[in-house]
Amino acid sequence: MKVEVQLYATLRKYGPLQEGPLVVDLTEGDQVARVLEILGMPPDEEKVILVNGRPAKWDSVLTEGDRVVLFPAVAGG
Amino acid sequence: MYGWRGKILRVDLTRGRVQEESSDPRIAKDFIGGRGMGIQRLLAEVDPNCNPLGPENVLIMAAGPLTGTKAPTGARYMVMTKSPLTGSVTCSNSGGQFPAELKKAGVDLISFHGQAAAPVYLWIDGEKAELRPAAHLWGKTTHETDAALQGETARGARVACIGPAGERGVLFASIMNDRDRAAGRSGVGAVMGSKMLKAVAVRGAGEVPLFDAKAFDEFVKKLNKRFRDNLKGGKHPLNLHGTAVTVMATQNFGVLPTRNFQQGTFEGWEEIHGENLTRKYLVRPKACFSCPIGCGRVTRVDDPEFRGEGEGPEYETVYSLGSNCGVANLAAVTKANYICNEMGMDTISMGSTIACAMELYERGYLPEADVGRALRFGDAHALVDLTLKTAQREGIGDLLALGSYRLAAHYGHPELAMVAKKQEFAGYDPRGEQGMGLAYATSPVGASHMRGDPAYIELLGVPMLLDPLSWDDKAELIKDWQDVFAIIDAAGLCVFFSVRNLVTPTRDIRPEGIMELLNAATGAGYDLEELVRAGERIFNAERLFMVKAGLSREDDTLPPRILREPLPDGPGQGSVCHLEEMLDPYYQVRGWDQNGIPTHEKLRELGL
Repeated sequence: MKVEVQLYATLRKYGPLQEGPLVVDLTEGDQVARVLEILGMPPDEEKVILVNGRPAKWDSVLTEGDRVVLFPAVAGG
Repeated sequence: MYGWRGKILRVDLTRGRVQEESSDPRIAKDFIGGRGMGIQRLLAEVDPNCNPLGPENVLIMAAGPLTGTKAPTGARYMVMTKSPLTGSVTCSNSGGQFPAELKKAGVDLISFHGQAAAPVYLWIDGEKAELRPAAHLWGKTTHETDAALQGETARGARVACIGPAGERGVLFASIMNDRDRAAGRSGVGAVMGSKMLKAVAVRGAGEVPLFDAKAFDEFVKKLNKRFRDNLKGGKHPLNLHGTAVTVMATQNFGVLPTRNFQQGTFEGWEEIHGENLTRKYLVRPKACFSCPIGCGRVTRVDDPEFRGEGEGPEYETVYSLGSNCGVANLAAVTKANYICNEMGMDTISMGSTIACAMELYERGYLPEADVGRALRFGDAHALVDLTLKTAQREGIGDLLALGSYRLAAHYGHPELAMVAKKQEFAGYDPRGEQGMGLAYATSPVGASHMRGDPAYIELLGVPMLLDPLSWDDKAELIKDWQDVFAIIDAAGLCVFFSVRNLVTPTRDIRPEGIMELLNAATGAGYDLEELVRAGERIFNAERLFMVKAGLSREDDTLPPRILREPLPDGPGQGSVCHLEEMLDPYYQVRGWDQNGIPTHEKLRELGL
């Protein structure tokens, strides 16, 4: 199954150089952790994980067509 | 005293006198400093029912015990007064260099009383302080005033001043310091203007004395090292892209206010995102005093239609002047930001007031003849034009200068003003972030993201993640978070560093790092319970002022759009803000009665 992954700001370094979402190939039952592994993102990298706009965790199970968004845990201004 | 300088300047503008007072060490410890000592003095000196723009109001500038030290982000001060926008207390916070310079000049707090007969400025040169005529500065922009005062006082003097907007009583006029840092909210600049006080210029001498300099330095070194280690050789996201990087979070959570809160996502969000700011207009990042992050933006726009240079925009600005006005044009947003800085106006209230005017126009309530042009969402030229007109109080700008609530009420539709206590919302839609609704509604200063910012809890999971759409688990944590923010503000620190590095990332949010810094700096010997209690004391003291000014539960509310119109888009689609369900449990954990008034027991317990 395929899921779309979008990285922002300081986490872009784990994705392709060009802009735009990345499509990752997963197996049925895979969790967010599998995406992080494919990207080579260390588990201690501070980040916010969203799946389809809802807060998720490393062990959230993904399904076909999910949209995973990862960004550094900062906000304010 | 250590950390605290022990000196308060009492400036009687009516009589043109500056008096020195000593601060009471007991009050200093109980209220920490800055925001705390400010509200203590405000309660003691100001009738909460006074005319905020009359001589009986008092304007307070207060630094914290850590301001001007090497404590990371020890750069902040607080401006406190009764607000002409909300009719309640306000405390507006700013960083830069001016607050640290004030401390180096030996001053913890300045209170301005009365009203001068002609424009004046206060010049503090080390031990000496005097009022000087400022008629030649009246009408000048903040940048011009800063430059002129550097010329006639001392090169390198630090300046806080108002621009033409403050002089003309724009109800959300700011006090700008170091040219582009803003004590932006609630019209503190209008109060300063009403007193005919144009500026404060200060040159310090020496350093802030510390109780245990060795322990302090060692702890600071440890904090800075840990901060650097966490970056693993990379840049901090706020340094890389500024606070406007927050757009990636609010857009994806569906809480990015768009077209006067008619939507929670903005199709043009990538244009106003911090990454785009970096790409297009960033000259360099800029840090406040003692700050290891450096989120400030020095920018330049070469686009011939919106040419300019200065600082900004911040996240709150790209929301208010950008998505909230439907303007997907970062050059125009940045230009309007420059105008706000130079004329001395709050970008949040400015943008949201224009957004409100745009909705009034599109619904046919605001006639085109009153504006002199069409005023549709997305009109970048109208945005810049109306910002300037507001500062000059020209045409429709004279009404916009009163903020969105009074504007919307004038046209018979106050429900279209996105405000709490008549102050414009920050850049988070409370329908997609329930706790933010509770924080906006219960803040004694009106809607603010600086009174226990729930975005940390609901978007970032700091200190712990609570579902942004839940409402039955918010009251207690938000109460505690509001109190911790009061400690951060009172100490003179910045939220950005403090919540991640000086407070435990656990449910009980112990401000251990702040305590260690305060104790090494002041020798006051705070224990954790005393410090947490001081935060609660400050929040309740502000509430007390608000209640005495005649506000209570019925003012702890949000517009009908937020309470009854479901969010039409994004992950929070279909949600309204469940404020009423959160309010009772919140009052209960606060120890307030059903009307939102602190009980006698609570006040006694806090020594108020």
